[in-house]
Amino acid sequence: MRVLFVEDSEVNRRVIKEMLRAGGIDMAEAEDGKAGLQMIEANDYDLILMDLRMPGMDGVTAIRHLRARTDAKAQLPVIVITADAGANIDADCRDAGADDVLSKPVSMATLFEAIAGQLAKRGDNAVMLT
Amino acid sequence: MRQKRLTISKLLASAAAAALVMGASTAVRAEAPPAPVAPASFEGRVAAAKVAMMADPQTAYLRSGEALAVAQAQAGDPRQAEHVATAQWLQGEALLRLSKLDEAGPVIAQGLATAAARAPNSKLHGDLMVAQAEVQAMKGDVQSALAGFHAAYRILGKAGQPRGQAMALMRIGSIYQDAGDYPKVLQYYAQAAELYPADLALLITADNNIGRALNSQKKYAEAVAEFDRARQIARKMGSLQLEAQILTNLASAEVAWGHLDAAQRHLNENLRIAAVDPGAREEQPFIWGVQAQVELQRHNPKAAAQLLARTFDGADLKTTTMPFREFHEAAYQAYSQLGDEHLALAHLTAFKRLDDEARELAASTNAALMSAQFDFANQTSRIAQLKAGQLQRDVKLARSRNTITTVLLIGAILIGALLLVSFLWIRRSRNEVRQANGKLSLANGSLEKALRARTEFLATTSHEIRTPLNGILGMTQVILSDRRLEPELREKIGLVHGAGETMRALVDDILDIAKIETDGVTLNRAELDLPRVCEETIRLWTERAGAKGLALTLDAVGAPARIVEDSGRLRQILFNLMSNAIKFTETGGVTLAARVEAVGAVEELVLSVADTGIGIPPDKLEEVFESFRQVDSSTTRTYEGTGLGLAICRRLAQAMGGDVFLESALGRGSTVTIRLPLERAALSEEPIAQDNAAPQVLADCRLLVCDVNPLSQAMIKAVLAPQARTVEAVPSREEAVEAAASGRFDMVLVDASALGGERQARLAALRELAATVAPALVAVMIADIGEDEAGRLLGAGAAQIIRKPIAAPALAVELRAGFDARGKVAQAAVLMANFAA
Repeated sequence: MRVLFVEDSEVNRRVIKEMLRAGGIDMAEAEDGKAGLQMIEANDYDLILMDLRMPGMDGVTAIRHLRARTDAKAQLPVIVITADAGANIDADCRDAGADDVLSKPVSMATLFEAIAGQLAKRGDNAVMLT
Repeated sequence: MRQKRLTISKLLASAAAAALVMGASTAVRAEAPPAPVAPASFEGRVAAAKVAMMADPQTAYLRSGEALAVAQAQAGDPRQAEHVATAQWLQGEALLRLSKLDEAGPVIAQGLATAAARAPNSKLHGDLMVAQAEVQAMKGDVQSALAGFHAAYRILGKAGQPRGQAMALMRIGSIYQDAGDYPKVLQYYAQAAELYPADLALLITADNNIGRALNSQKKYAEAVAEFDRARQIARKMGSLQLEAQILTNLASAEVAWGHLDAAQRHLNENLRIAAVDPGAREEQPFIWGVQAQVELQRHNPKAAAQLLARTFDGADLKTTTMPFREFHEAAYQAYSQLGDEHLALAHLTAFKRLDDEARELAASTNAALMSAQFDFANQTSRIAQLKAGQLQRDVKLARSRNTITTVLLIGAILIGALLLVSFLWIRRSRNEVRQANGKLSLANGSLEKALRARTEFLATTSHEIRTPLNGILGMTQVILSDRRLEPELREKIGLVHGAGETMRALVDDILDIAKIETDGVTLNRAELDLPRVCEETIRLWTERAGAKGLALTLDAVGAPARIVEDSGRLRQILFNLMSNAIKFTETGGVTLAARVEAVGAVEELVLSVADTGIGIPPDKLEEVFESFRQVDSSTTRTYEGTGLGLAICRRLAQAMGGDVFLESALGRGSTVTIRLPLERAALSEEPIAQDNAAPQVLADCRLLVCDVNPLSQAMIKAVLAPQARTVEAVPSREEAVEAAASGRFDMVLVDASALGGERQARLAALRELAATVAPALVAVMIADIGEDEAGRLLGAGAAQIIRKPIAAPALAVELRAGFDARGKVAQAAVLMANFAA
């Protein structure tokens, strides 16, 4: 399983990478929305993790671009991980097309539950427990 | 004008009393048909007091005193307390009408305390709250009065008394009227009229006062329209007296508007009414006064002076009241135009006296309203600055007033020449008052902006704190999840992680309270399973309580199964209360209880958390509800935390229409009780919060999942959560044993990865696990094994083998089969074990 994490903070990329590794998940990294979209274009991922506030292209814009694609990649599950605590953050992200929104600091359990939630939702009968 | 409003509100506001009378008569009618209530009985005296309240408060006072004596003698009657409170209410109302505030206060306070305890949220409770606020308003304690009327509004809402609610709103509106905050006046009166449009007396008061507010804002066209509506209502009510009062207001607005012909028409009409109706005759001095204003505008000072002479006929110019203020101004103009400087000065002095009174009232009410809005535990420097600005304006206002006094004194010596000057001074000072009021409302706006800015600032700060916190908490968690970590290091990293968690809680709480205080609470009410919410709350705290050696008890026997409430907010309240209770308790235990109590016709949900902790001194009980407060600042150091928990709980409970109550004995413990209006969910057996309509496959099974891989663990949990009664997950066998010790599971699903890699070790681990979690069954998930190995696993205590990979939907079905065969499997396992031995 391969996941892309779009996030400007190096420390946080490292943290999430370590967390995902515990679950046997490979994580690719991008520093902002634009770089993230390029990575998605060039590679195949199972799921995208997205920060919101980034220099360059922000997370919401990147999600809108992704959802505007015409191929199957437009349907990639996207989980936002943000330190924003504004009242409308959740709604704004979901409006843009995010499937789930997690707030920082995010715990391992929360992260994996969110990922599992997306996989279980998408796969139906196809989800295999290995 | 003030006096005039009071007359109208005396007629209607004490619409409460009108309601009393109506209420009394219907009550009498509802009882046995012809037999009148014996005047000597409690009911008889209450009825008599109500009837006399409006016209003859002295008699009402006597009758309610008798009723009180009767009630106090009713020892043993279950309704005694309520009767006493009812009598005290009436006595208080009568004293209010007799302007005996100092006597009314204590009587009403006693009744209110009784009603709040014995009949909370009843009509009586609300009526007494209104009465108390009325006393406070009359004493000039605007802040308390405002809070009281707001509380009464809420209570009467719960008691299903929209009329009483509308009355409370109108009283709030009249406070704002005194303060000259006309937009608020419009808002409250309009809301009142909307809430209870069935009552003409109420509507006419609202229309009349809205008209006056519009008039003060120079919105003459709209004011005239309101007065017209009020007049139609007066006609419908058949009250010539009310119609006369409104016609005067109407004509007065028209004069100010410059529509002299219309004003003249209405004045003529009013004079005709006053000629036929004795009640309306009292209106004549005002009609002449307005007529004089018309004459002045038509440049007939002589006619104006004659009319005003009639208006002020027999009046002592030193003691005239507020409604005559504008007429004094007119008289000053008329007499100075006619050259009668003595009379001009006398009226100017009277005008100044009344003007000062009005200004003082507005200034003090405004200051009180401002401080009511300043009810904020921690004010930023910006807010403090606004306050300083307010003070400066007050000082400036006071100075300008003193100057006028000096000018007037000189004016008395050099009459003629200085009369005009001093009048201009007063004009100017009035403009200053108007400006000051404008600035005040601007300050209110700035205050709101400052609060909003503070929330934004906190949100930004919290973003900046959360980002590095994610690094700290995330990385420590990654390290802690590594099994190879040495215990000593584990403990130290654990401390870092714990400190990070505290910091996160702090940031969350601060942001939460700031949001609540600025924007209020938005509730997402939906059906929820209350016992489940309670169970889950207990579960969240089991570990922490266990570590401190505290017993956690859940008493939800009397709890309704399904209710409608905001689940997230309810959990937040319970979480906070449990957190506090455990934090402040060293020995003993904590009990979470849920039950239903009937309060009159309504049901209340009562949730309580009782601890055996350090307790709170009685004089600090109220303080702990304030933001950023722990009883002793030294406890902040001993007991970490923001001290925001209870403040948040109270605000949330109040937003849900309830409140929080705290009882405590120092050294013995505290009980926090939340009372919320109970809304039971419509009866249905459908599971809540589950999208799939299909029945749960494992509805009777409480499941524990044990898997070292966090992703597999989360996947299994995600797949099984909709199917099982409960699902919990742990990452290791040790933790599985610990969690299962509570006996809260029926089945443990363990992945082979958690049993160890080597085959012999695996079997030994399984044997130990199965023995310790029994009677819970153990199902083992494993890949790539043959029949022999499966047999050995069953022999070691597995009730069931689940072969991986397995499709998600099949897992629950297989577990079901294993769960159903538990008896047989257990037997087989015993046989196999014997065989293996």
